[in-house]
Amino acid sequence: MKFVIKKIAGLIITLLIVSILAFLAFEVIPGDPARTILGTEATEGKVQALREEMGLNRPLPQRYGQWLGEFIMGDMGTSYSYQIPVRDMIGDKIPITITLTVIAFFFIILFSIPVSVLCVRYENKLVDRLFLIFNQITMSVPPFFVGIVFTVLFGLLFRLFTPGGYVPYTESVSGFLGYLILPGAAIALPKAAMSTKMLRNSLLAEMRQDYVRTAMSRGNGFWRVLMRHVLRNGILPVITFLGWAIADVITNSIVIEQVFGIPGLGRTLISSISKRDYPVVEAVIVLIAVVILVINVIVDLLYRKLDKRIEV
Amino acid sequence: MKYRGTKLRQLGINKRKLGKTGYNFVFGLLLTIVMVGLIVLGFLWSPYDPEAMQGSVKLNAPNLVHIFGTDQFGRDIFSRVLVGAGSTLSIALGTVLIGGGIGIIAGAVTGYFGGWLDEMLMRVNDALAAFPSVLLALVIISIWGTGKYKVMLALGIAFIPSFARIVRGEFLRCREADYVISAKLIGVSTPRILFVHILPNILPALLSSLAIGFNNAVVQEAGMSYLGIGVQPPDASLGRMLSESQTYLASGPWCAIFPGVFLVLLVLGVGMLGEGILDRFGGGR
Repeated sequence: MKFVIKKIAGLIITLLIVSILAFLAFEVIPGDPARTILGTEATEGKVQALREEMGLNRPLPQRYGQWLGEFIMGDMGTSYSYQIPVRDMIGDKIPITITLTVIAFFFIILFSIPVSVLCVRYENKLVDRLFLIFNQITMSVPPFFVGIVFTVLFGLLFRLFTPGGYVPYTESVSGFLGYLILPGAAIALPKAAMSTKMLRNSLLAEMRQDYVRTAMSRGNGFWRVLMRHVLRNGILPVITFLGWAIADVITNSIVIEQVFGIPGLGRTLISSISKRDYPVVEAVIVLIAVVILVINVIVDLLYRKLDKRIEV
Repeated sequence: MKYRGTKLRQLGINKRKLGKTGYNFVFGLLLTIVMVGLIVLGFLWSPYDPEAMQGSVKLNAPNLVHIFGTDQFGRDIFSRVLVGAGSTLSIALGTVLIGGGIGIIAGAVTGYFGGWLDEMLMRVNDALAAFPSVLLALVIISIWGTGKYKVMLALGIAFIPSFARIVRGEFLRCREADYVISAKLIGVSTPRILFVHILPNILPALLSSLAIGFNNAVVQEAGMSYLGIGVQPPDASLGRMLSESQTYLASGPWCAIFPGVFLVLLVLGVGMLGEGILDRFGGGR
């Protein structure tokens, strides 16, 4: 319990640091938003009036407090380029990116557990060697290039999907999920290769333990020992890695959305960066950071829960 | 054969282990030399002018005249890949130089001295490390704007925390080592202890993390340029080639495949080299 409190306190401190950095980066450094909104033609008087209205003349800590309070309540400001609340702009895009991330993460697990078990069963045999080489190569491929290769292979050669033929989830849920399978796989592949490599090595290290020999000598078969004892222990170090991988999966989805033309958070982020639409950039980045930080804490707690050797 | 075996045994090297670990190192080193060699060659010479447009050879498939084919303007893809990889390489090296340089100094000082400075820097570091470096780079890019040198700076700054963390851990480990204590006793100056005595001892871990950082920089620069927020025209970049080629995937898939494969081979080589260094020279860790 003490650990849980300590972790959550740490999370709150980290979130505060992130919020201060975001506030400084987007609300202070870029200069005068009143000037940005009104353009260079506006008279000084008008800019002053807007500054007063937006509360830009007040001291920084006060501005930070108000900004933080509004942000937590869901008021993330107004987009410079579209003049609509940021919340309305990104609200319906969040489910798209979340679905994509979940699919990708699902693929990582779906690939790495069976493949690493197979590699352990046939250690140093042909299957193991082939996957070793395959993993080493796929680890080095950036996800967006996997996406391009998938588009060429499955979209243009085998015609399994229409490149750019995104289906909104409001229209057809199955069509939406179907379109996200390949992008999800593209994000997952390099990470899946990495986690397979880790899981294989961790399982092999477990297989050399005394308890495995004991279990085997009591007449249990390989699969039984693996499933009931080894996998449970061997997967622990990989869980930490998967926690880190979530951050990469989310950030990679930003690029993959562009490859496959998916109108998610990532696309909004990139177009807002190009337009210097700071309120939108700030909202998306802070949201992503919060999600990643919270997931990391959950993974840490889960790890403690799963590993019986550590007191929770 | 027999002689070689005994010789290896005399050196205390398990032959099987060498076969396993030397593999990464040797293959990675060779691949890195070939790829970097090609890129350096690209700085000095390329078969065609990478910007020269030839209307007669638009979107030609790879052939003997244009080994990687030509793009939608009839430009030679091989020449463009060399030039693009050149700027990708220089950005990645610049990133590693900035992030590694500052990260090493920060990590060395905090790890060796400890105390409140260490405590404070590590708190900030924790917050930044939990924050993916890509996002940090995106924040910096969105404020400063795009371009070759800005990407280099943004990625370099974003990489400082991870380098600092690794180096700090290593210095912390070496702080109490006997050779450091003896050096202190005979009056060697602190900077000399830090950078002449300890640094060479942590070289394997440092080099392999620099290799990982280099690869991250290559991949992220390519990703950012692909998204149009990295290197801007007229500067070439592999990522930009990939995004330009996407419109022509149906009629000229080679426009995308070759820059991508080149990128993958570079990352693969450096990655294996990094792993190999750690396997081979990492000592008992």
